[in-house]
Amino acid sequence: MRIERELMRGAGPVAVLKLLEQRQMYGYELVEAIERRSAGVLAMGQSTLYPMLYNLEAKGLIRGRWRDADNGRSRKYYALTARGKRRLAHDVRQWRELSRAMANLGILPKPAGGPREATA
Amino acid sequence: MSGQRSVSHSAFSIGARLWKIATIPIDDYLPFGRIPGLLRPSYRVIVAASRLPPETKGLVRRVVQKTRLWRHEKRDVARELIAHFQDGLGSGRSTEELIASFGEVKQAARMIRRAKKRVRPVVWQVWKRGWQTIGCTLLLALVVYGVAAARLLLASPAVSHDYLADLNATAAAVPEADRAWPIYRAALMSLYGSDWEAAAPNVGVQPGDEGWKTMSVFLASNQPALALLREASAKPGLGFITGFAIAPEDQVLVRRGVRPTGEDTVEKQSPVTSPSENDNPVLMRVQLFQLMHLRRASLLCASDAFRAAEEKDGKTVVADLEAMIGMAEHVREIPMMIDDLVSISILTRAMGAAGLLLAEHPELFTDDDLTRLAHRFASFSGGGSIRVHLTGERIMFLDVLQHVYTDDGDGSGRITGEGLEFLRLLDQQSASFQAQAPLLVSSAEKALAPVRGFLMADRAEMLREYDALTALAAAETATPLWQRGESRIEVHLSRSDDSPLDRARYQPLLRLIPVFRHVSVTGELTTQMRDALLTAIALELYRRRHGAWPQSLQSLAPELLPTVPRDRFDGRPLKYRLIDGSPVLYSVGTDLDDDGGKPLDLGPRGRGRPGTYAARWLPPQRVEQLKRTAGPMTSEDWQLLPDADWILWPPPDSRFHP
Repeated sequence: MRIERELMRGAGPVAVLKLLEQRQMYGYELVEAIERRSAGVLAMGQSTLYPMLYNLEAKGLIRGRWRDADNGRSRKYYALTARGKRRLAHDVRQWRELSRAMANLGILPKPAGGPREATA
Repeated sequence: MSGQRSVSHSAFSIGARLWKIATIPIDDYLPFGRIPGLLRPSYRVIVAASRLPPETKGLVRRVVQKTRLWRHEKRDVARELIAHFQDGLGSGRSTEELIASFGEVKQAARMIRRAKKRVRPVVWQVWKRGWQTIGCTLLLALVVYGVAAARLLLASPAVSHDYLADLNATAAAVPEADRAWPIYRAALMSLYGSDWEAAAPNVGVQPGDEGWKTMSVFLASNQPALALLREASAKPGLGFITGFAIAPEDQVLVRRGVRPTGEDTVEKQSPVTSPSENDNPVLMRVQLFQLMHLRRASLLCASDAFRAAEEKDGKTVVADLEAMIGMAEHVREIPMMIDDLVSISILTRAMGAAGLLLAEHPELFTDDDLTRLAHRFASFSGGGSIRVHLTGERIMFLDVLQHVYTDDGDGSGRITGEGLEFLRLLDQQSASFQAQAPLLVSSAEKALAPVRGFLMADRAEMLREYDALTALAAAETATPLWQRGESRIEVHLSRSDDSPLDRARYQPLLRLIPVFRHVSVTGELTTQMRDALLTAIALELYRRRHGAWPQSLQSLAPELLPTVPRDRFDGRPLKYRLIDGSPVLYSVGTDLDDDGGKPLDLGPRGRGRPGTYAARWLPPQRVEQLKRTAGPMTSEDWQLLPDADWILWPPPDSRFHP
């Protein structure tokens, strides 16, 4: 399902920050992980991801470093910064509030026993 | 086999290392070091050296090129995209899949560029914002300039009122039979005859001056013309209709009237040309040549009075003095300041001649003569204090406004391009007259015309400001000298002069507004001289009746004077003393100190014009300041504040003077 651009604008960065919370990842890896773990809903092309990464880097939420991979190739790995962690926590709270509100409106199903997180 | 794998692995490792050296900047290893960008390979080299399929290379090149980023930023983006495609190919995806999932090239480049620019140094950000601000400001200024220029160029003045008719109203109302000007013209034409060339340089001389003999002979042989002057001066009105061209009947007069050397000219020179003058020229161009000729006529009458005195002809003396008073009245018929100033000049000359002759030849005057002269001088211009009127100046200002502004029908309007050009020419002329730097100094001002037009006050505001200033001037003029302080109008004008915005906003005012303070002081000083002459006449009449001079001026009132006139410098009664048995009338003068009738001593510089310096008016605060000056007075201070009184009668150059 193709998500509206305005919705993607808010969801994409949070998704990236969330993935980087667990470990540092490189660009292609992020594209694959977002597509897989969102079941294709948040799938984005490289033309969307890399500008997003550069924006997050400009805001100081993530930091990129070139490293040699095991296969000898060089990759730019991105990691969450302290500021990025705080921002992620803030955005997660907001998304939870939003989903609770949507659930109360009947747009989302009400979770039984509390909110559930998507797992890998 | 294992050897072959080992060799290929080594080759791969070497290639990978070379790839790293070629692509990874040292900066990534040295936190503080920088290698100049030109030493690193461009993104094209990096893309070319990558082991990607040609289609993918092409995609990466296009994207990076379209970002239009800095060199090192392009390298960074290229490396990352190459790494991405390498990872994609390495995970088993096809080139087509990867290219298809990449997204739109232009949009990608634009978004990458926007994002990368956000991480540029603060200095660059500030620099960029600064140039953006300058650019926006310039653009805004250009738009404003364009609008202002359009408003200026598309506007035209609305010349609708004939102010010349207003100016000529009084003269036009004089019945033809009562008009003095045709008679003056005839008299002057006769005087400008064959022997005028010799006499011309001596107009205004008195007995004892060089050229007096020549002038005396000239006057004696031109008595019929002088009689015509006297006849003309007795007419009820001048009847001179001024205009922009010299009437044919006057052109001969103007051509024949060779201007004597040294005589002040009062012809109004007005080369300024308004572009909107085709049907209704600017009033400033009006011809006022009659002023010079009437002033000359009055000087001839003054000289003739002295000639008649030498011949003991009292009747002619009185007639000449009355003729001068009549001419002074006639000149004021056109209500312009220049006319009033010429009138005062003629009157002053008449008073000077009368005072001198009264002192030296009192026997020439009968009691009736003196009484009649006293009434003529006292009733000059309606009696009371002698004033310079500003009515005509307002008419002229209104005329300028209608030549430079539009008319919106509600009393206002905006400045026009033609109007600005007229003001620029006027400014150049005015600056040359006043020996000042013009407000508008170069042709670059023409480029700034829309800005000036934008800043300049509109028609209604300009007139309001003018009226406010003239109201200040009128209030000041109505205030006697002894009650005045610093001129409020001069303070107001100097504030405007010091403010560039005010100068831009009220430029026409600053060039067209006359020197109000000086003219109002002129009126007061003339009144003082008139009052002193009336008192002198009263003294002479008293002496004739009582056989001696009075001990005080109080003895003259009310029989010979309504009241004792005031000293206009200190507001107290006019000063009178008997020095060696002879009367002296004086004012305390500039220094406001009663020095007992002490005349001005010009020392080795000679006499100069009697009473000039002692009659200069300064605000009392300035006088106090000069008096407090420590140490000896400088020559400049002395000139400003001479320790002397203003001797009013008898004139200091009179032989009668004690």
